[in-house]
Amino acid sequence: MSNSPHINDVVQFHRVALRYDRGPEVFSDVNLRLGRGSFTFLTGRSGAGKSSLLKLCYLTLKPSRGLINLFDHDISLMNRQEQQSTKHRIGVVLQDFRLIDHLSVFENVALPLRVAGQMRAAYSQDVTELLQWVGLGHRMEAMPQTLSGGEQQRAAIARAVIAKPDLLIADEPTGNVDPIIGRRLLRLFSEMNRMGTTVLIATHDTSLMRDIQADILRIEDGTLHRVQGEVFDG
Amino acid sequence: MDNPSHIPPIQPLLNPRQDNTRALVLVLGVIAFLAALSLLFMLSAERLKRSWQSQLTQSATVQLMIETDAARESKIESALSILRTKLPEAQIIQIEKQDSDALLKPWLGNVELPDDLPLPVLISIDLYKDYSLDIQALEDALRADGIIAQLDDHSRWSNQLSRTGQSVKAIAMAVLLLILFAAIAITTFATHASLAAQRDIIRVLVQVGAQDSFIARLFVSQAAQRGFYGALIGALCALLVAIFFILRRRTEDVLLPDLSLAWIDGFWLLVFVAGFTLFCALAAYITATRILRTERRRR
Ligand SMILES: Nc1ncnc2c1ncn2[C@@H]1O[C@H](COP(=O)(O)OP(=O)(O)O)[C@@H](O)[C@H]1O
Ligand SMILES: [Mg+2]
Repeated sequence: MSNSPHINDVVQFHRVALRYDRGPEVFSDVNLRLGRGSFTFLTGRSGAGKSSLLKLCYLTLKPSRGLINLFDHDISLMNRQEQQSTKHRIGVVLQDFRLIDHLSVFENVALPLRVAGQMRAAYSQDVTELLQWVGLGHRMEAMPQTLSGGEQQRAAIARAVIAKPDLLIADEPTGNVDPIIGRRLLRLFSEMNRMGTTVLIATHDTSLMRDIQADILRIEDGTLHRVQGEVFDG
Repeated sequence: MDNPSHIPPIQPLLNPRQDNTRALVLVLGVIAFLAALSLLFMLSAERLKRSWQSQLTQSATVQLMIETDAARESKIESALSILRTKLPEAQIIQIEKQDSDALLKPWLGNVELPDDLPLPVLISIDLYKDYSLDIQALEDALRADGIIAQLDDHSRWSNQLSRTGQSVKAIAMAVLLLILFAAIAITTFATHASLAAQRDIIRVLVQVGAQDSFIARLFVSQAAQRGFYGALIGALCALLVAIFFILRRRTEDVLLPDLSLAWIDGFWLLVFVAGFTLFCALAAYITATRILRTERRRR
C-alpha cells in the first residue's frame, strides 16, 4: 500500500499534448508534477479537458506528444504487463461508475483484489469493513442496478480504494451525492491521503475545495494554471 | 465482520447470461456426438478386423492333389501324420467330403457331383496359439513323401482385410479430425462473440489492472466448460446409440452398422472428452490472446 520511498513524483507530465484522432488539440503544452502524498483538485469549465487529462494519468489514453512518467517510469517504455501492474497501483472513480451488472456490490468492490490473485478468505473482511464504512454494509449482496446513483458511486469509490492504491484519481466524485455524503467521501479521500496515497480529483464543485488543504489546478485554453499550492511547474 | 463465517459465494466474472451458452453447448454436443460415434465405429472396426485376422492366421488349409484312387486313403493318412508331427500344437483334421462339397456349391451350383470327379482332399489346420507357419517347409516335407500339396495360410485374405481395416480406420480418423476442426471453429467464433458481448466487463478488468493472461483465462475456462459439457453429452449419446444398435442387431437381423462395445471403449471415450475439452480451451486461448493483443495495439 505504501509508496516506494525512492519515488518522488507520482505523476509527471512534460510538454504533453493531446488530440482525439484528427480533432483539434485538447491541450497543447501541459506540464504537471504530482508529488508523493499530494492532494490536488483539477478544475476547469466543462469541456476544458479535465477528464482527458485524468485518462492520461490512468493509462487509458496516450498523449500525442510529450512525456509522461508514472511512479518515475516513462509510460511509453512500458510493456503491456508493466502497464497493467501500474494500473493496479491506481484507483479510479469515473462519472459513469462502471460497475459490473451481474456482480454483487461485494464482488464489484473486491474486483481489484481478485484480479491481483488474492484469496477470498484474505480479503472478504476488508471488503466488508470498507462497505460498512461507505454506508453500503446492508447492500453488499445487492446488484448494482438496484442501487441509487449515490450508492452506485460509493460502491465505485470503494472499488477504487480497496486495493490501497498509491494514486487515487476521481472524476467528479461528488456529482451525484448529497452534500453530507459528499463530505464523507472527501473525508475518505483525505484519510487515504494521510496514509500516503496521492490524490487527484477533477471537479467543478468549488465548495469541496474549501474543506481540504489541497493544491488547485485549473485547466484553461489547453494549458494548466496553478490556482493555489505549489504543484505547477513552468 | 460480525459474522465472519458469512462470505458471499464467489460469482463468475464473465456474465453467464450474456451469450447463448445453452445453444452453444447443444451444437458442441451434436458435434461431439458425431465424433464419438465415429470413434466407436473405428474402435469396433479395429476389433473386428483383429478378431478375423487372428482367426485367419491361426488356421490354414492344405489341398492334397491325389490322382490315383488306389493310394488315396494311405496318402491322406501319411499326409495327416506328417502334418501332425510337424505341428504338434495344432488340431489337424480332414474336411469330410460332404463338407468340402458344400464349400464348392456356391461355385458349381446345386448339381450332384460325380463320385469320380478328382476333387482335392482338404485338410484344415487350426493352431492352438498364434504362431507362424512355414508353408514352404511343410510343402517340402509332404513332397518328400511323394504327396503334392498346396498350403494356404490365408495370408492373402489377411492382407486384404488389413488393408480394408486400414482404410476404414483412416476414414474414421479423418472424420474425427474434421469434426474436431469444426469444434475449434465454433469455439473460435463463440470466443469472438463472447469477447464482444463482455466488452464492458473486460474494460473494467483492464482498468483495475488485470493482466491479459488473467482475462484470457476467463474465456479459456468458459470454453473448456462448454467443451466439456458438449463432449460429455455427445459421448453419452453416442454410447446410448451404440448400445441401441447392438441390442437391435441381437434381436432382429436388420441392416445396421456392425458395432461392438468393449470396456476399453469407455477409456477411449474419456480420452475423447478430455481431448475435445482441451481443443476448445486451446482455441479460446488463441482467440482471446489474439484479440486482446490487437485491441491493445489499436488503443
Ligand atoms: N472520445 C473522444 N473523442 C473525441 N473527442 C473527445 C472525446 N472525449 C472528449 N473529447 C473532447 O475533448 C474535449 C475535452 O473533453 P473532456 O476531457 O471530457 O472535458 P471535461 O472533462 O473537462 O468536461 C472536449 O472538447 C470533448 O469534446
Ligand atoms: Mg469530464
